[in-house]
Amino acid sequence: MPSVFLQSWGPLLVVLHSLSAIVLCGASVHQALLAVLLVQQRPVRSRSLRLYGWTTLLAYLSTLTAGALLYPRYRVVIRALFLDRHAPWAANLFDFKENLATIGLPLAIGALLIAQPLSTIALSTTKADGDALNRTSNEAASESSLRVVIWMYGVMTVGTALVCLTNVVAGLLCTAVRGA
Amino acid sequence: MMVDLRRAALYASILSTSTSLVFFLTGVVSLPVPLYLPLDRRWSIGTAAGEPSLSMDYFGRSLIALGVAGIVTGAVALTARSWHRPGRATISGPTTKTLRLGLAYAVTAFVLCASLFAYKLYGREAVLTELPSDPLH
Repeated sequence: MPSVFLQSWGPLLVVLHSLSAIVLCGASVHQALLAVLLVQQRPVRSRSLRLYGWTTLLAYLSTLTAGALLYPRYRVVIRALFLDRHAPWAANLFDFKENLATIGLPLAIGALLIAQPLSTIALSTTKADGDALNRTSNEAASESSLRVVIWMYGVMTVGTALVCLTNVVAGLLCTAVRGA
Repeated sequence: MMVDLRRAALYASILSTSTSLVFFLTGVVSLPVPLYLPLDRRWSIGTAAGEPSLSMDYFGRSLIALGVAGIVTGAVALTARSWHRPGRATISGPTTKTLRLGLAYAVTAFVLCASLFAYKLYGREAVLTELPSDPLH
């Protein structure tokens, strides 16, 4: 009987981890592009803000969970038995990827937190004249704070996408060294 | 609606900033955290350096960082909600300046934390662990 947690489930978990990561990359990059459109004061579909926000967060959690379940197996079978001895740089890169994933999670949560009310505002204004920014409020202060919120949404979504893409490249590099 | 939006943005920045800061702290201070020992298949609390066997502190550090950040953000949200009760003067939510500061703190904390771990892990020497003759069976 294997002594490492979920060792025999490793291949299946790796497939789940990879599939979730593919969905995550697609959703997070789409979400970041929506944010760029908003920053450029171009109209976006409010439904897309919520859809990509939820898809990104759920795919992030799914990828993180599958990765966490795989981690004990990786630590013994891949890292202790091979990477630490033959390719320590890959072990270090993998650890960096894991740490980045943890501090990236609040960015995905934050993007969704902002996307929910933002989508309501974008909807009400897009119906009026197609401009998501110019008609949201008559007050200059509200407009100014809306600009900051949109920038914050941009930072959170672009940050999430960058974390995801970095982690995919790092994961592929580590897998290329030793396999999964 | 704008008040909800500004509050959501503030909470998002607080969540991100506090996660990065607590995670940064676990990287620079040797705090006792929940450790998973994969060969023994058990958990313990301590520092990774103090464990003789193969240990994993990533789960513990992540749980602490995300847990503390969740508690801090929840506390701020509850405080803001209690101020918004009927009978009290309505507040207009965070100001633009507060939001700008929140964004700046979130970005700075994230970059600082990512840089710390990049620095710590770049060129880290592997510590070869004594393993059982056949650790998988």
